[in-house]
Amino acid sequence: MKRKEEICRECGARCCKGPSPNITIFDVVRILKHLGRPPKDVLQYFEVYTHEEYLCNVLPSRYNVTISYETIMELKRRLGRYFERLLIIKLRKVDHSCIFLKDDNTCSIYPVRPIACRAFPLKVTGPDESCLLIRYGVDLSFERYMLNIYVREMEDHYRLFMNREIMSLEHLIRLISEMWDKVPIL
Amino acid sequence: MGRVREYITREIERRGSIHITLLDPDKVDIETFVKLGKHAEDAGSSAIMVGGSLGVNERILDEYISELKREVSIPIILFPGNLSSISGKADALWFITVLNSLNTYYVIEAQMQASVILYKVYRNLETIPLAYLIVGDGGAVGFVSNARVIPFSRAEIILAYVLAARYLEYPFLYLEAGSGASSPVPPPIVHKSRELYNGVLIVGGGIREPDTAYEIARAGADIIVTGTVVEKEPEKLRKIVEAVHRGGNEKKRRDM
Repeated sequence: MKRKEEICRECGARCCKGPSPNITIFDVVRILKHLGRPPKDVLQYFEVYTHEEYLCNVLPSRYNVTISYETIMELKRRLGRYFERLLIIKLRKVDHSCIFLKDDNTCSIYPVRPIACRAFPLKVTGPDESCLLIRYGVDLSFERYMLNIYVREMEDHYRLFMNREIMSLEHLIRLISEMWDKVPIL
Repeated sequence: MGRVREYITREIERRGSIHITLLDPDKVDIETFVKLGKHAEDAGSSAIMVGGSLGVNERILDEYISELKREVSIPIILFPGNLSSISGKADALWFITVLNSLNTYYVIEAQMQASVILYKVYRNLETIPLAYLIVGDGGAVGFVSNARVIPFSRAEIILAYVLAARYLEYPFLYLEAGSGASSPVPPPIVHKSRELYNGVLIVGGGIREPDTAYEIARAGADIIVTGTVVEKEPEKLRKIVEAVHRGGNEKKRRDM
């Protein structure tokens, strides 16, 4: 049986070159702390959008995917007021690939990489069948464990964003500062 | 093709005919506006059009539409009366030309001016081309857009315009009897228009009863727009939408 690292090298880290997963406030705090950057530097590593901006403008123009209005309606129904209010935060890309991806296809922030990245190829919507780890039938119990953490952190993230009405960059930076000492570097 | 236009096309394919609710921010306060919008979605409207002939500007529209968008998930399409009724908050905008206006401003000049704003400021706002023909009573819009409103007794002239829309290849054509008109576009005219025009046929104005909506959908309208009725009798809306779908179903079966 091949090791995970070998398989990922064979694939060429394709998952790090497509659209970014959703990043939680906890990921942001962990990563900024790891990099030794203050909360106000958030935009140097992340992009902040409303769901609508991201789905309707960013995703289509960057990855040439169109999202049907039915999908947007479904998301709006599921997310309710989150859809309009919440700011979704995304890893910033250079040439569509993750800003933290090094030339040798390894991750420059591996110890604090986002939880969604740790759970990949498992996603809330189901496993990503294009990932070689799935094709090779690798044991994914670690990823499954991470997916559970991701779901929990995402819920906390949404709750925080909802209760505090995080609607602008200033709100977000204030929240990151507040969370600074509460989130340990895993 | 834009996302909202695709959605509308699919909805029509699925149901035969669909209903759209028109809301006028000038006529109601913001709470009522949002309430009526929610009611329209619950009643089964496939989209909400926001517009009116008078009394709106970008600030008012932004405010009204932002509030509405928090509560409804169906698309919100601007139905602009003039240059001041554009808002980046909407999902799409009907890019209208009034076919029978005597004033070239409503035929092409306003569009020319709006285009520059759309290009510079609202690049992400989807535009849907729409030929607009004001018939019957004409209502306020007939007056404001200086249209030579065509009476229903002159069906051959209405149909000549319908043919013009066909040859100009407008993808959407709106037969407008005017908001609150005493009588809606008669089903025989809708039927004949359907035969001559192969784009999406929209009919609005003076439709207040489910039976009327049913007849017009059955005659061939792809989209039926009602406005005033939701403002005055929100409960009736559900019956109208149901009648549109029923009429659309029959139309679909006949076309197959």
